[in-house]
Amino acid sequence: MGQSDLDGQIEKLRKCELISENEVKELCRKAREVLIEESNVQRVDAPVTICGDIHGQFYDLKELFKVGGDCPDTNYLFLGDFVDRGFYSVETFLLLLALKVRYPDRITLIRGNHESRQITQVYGFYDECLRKYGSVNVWRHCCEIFDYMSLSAIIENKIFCVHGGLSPVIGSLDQIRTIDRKQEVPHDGAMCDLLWSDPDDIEGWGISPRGAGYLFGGDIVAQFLQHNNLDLIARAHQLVMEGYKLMFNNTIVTVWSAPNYCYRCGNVAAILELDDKLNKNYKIFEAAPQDVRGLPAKKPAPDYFL
Amino acid sequence: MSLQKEIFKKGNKGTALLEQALIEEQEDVDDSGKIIEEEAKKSNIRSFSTLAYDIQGKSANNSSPLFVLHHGVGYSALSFALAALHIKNLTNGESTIFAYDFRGHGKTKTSDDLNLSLEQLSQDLVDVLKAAFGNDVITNREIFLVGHSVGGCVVADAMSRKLIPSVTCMAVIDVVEGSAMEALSNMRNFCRNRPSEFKTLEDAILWSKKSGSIRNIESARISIPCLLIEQETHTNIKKYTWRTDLAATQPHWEEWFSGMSEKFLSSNAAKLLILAGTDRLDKPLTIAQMQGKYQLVVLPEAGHMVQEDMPERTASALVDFWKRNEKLILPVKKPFINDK
Repeated sequence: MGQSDLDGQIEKLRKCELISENEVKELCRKAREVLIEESNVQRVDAPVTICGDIHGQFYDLKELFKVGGDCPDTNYLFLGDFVDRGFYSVETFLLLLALKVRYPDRITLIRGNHESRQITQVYGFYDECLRKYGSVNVWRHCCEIFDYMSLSAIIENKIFCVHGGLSPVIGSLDQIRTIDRKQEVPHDGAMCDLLWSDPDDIEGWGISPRGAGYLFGGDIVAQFLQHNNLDLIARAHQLVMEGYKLMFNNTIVTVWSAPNYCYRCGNVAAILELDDKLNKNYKIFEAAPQDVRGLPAKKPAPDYFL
Repeated sequence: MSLQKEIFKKGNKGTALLEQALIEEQEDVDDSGKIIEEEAKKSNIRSFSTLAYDIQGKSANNSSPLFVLHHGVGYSALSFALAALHIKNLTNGESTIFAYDFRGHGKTKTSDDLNLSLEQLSQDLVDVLKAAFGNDVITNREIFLVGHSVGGCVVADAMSRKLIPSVTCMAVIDVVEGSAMEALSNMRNFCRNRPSEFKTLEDAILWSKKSGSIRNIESARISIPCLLIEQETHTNIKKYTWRTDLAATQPHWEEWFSGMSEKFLSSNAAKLLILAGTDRLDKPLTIAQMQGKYQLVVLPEAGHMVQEDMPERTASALVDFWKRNEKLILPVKKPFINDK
C-alpha cells in the first residue's frame, strides 16, 4: 500500500465513505506495525490536543476537527472509546486509524473499554460491521488492532493520560510499562482498571457501580501524582454534560468529546488544547446539525413490557 | 383482610412443598405430553402463591443473602422458577430466595385485586416480607430486591419511598420508563390481539413460544399453566382463560412507569439493570450509564421475559452482582506487577 493509496483512503473516509474489506485488512496490517512499537505509556510531545470518547459519532468528529484543526496540522491524542453506540463506528475508527498510519507522530490513539471484543458485540460495533460489510471480517481485523493499542500516554513527563483511571495494583508508571497489553481487555486486574475506573468524592478506593474497575478518591490521585512527579491526570470515560470537568483541586480532568451522546443526551463536548508550555485551553463544541449527520434507525418498541 | 394474612394463611409448609414440586418438574421437563397433566394435578400446590427456597433455614442466622423477586403484570412468581433454581445452585444453597404472586395474580387473594396502584404494590411488598420473615426483616436482613418489568417499577418505587432500609442491592429487569411510555399504544394492540382462551394448557404453552413472549419452552411449561383458569363451558368442553385481565390494568399503566428512571437512579442501594437490548435505554439512563452510576447487563439473545428466556445468565448476573457489592476487596499491591 503506497502513500497515495492511503491518502485516497483518507479522502474517502473523511467523506464518511467505506473503504473495501481488503483495504481495511491492509490498513490494519500497517497499523499493527506502528502500534506494536508504542509503549504502554506512550510519550507525547506538547503542543497537543486531548480528546475524549467519540463513540462512532462521525459527523461530530468532523465538528471536532473543525474546532481543533485538521490532522496533521494539529497534534492529537485520543483517549479511546472510538466505537459503539453511534451510527458510524466503522468510518470513525478507520479514519482515525488511517490518520495514525499516515501521520504516526501527529496522532496518538490509546485504548478505551469499548475497544474490546466483548463490549462491541453488545453495544453496536459488531452489528455495524456485519451490516456494512456483510461479514464480521472487518470487525475481526479491528479487534486485533484494539489489542495492540497503547494503554496510556504521558505528555512532557507531566500529564498522565488514560481512558478510565487508576488501579489499586498500580503505583508507578513503570508498573504500567510491565503489563502485557496484547490481549482482550480482562475482567479485572491493572489493565482492566486503567480502562474502567472513575474518580469519585471518596477517600481511598471504592466499589465501582459499573461492575468493573474501581472508584478512587482525591487522596489516591495526590499520591499517584506525587510518586510519579506529575501535575495532572487527563482521562475520559464519563459523560460530562458541560464537556469537561476538573476535580480534586484541578489534579484530574475528565474530557468528553461526543456531543449529544447517543443522539439523545443533550450534552456539549470538549477538547483540551495544551500549548508547548502545557497551558490549558478548553474548547467546547456542539453536535453537527441533524440534516448533516442523518439519524440512527430506531428499533421498534417491544410489544409487551408490563 | 390484609394481603399478608391471606397469602400466608397456609403457612410456610406450602412454600417447601412448592420447592419440591419444582424440582420434580425439572427432572421430567422434556417429557412434553405427560407434563401437562402433571402440571394440572400440581396446580393446587400453587395456591400458596409463593416460590421460596430456604425460607427458615439460613434465614435464622441473618447472614445469608435474601433474594426477593417481584414478577411483572400478567405473570407469576413462577416466572422466576428456573432463575431461582440457578441462584440457589450458584450460591451453593446458601441464600434465601423468595418470590410471590402479587395482588391480582396467581392464587393470591386480596380485598381488592384491581387496586394495582404503585403505592399499594409497594406496601404489599413490605407486608409480604414482614409476614414471611418477621417485622425486623426490613431493617436487619441484607436484601437483594429484584423486579421484572412492572415489578421493577414496584422495586424502584419502594426504594424511593425508603420502605425497606435493609436493601443493599437492587436489580431491575427489562423495564425503562422512556421506552415503556413510547410503547403504551402497542400495548393496547397486544391486549386486543392475544388469544383470550385456549383449548388446552399445551396450546397456551405453544402459543407463548410461537408468539415469542417466552422463548424458552422449558420455562413456559412451568410458568404458563398457573396463569390460566380452567372454565367449564355449557357443552362440557374445557377451556382455559387468562387469570389476570391485562386490559383492566390500563388505568395504572402511566402511573407505573412515570418517574421510574429517576426513582431507580436516586436509590442509594447498588443498582443493576438487566436489559434485552441497549436501544431500550432512555435519556436519563443513558446519561447515568455513561457516568458509571449503575451496572448494565445486556442479554441480546433474550426477549422481554429475560429471566425465563435465559434463566442461568440472569441468575449469574444477579449472584455476581451480589458478590461484587458485598464488600470492597482490594487486590494486594505488589512492588512490580506483571499481568502475564
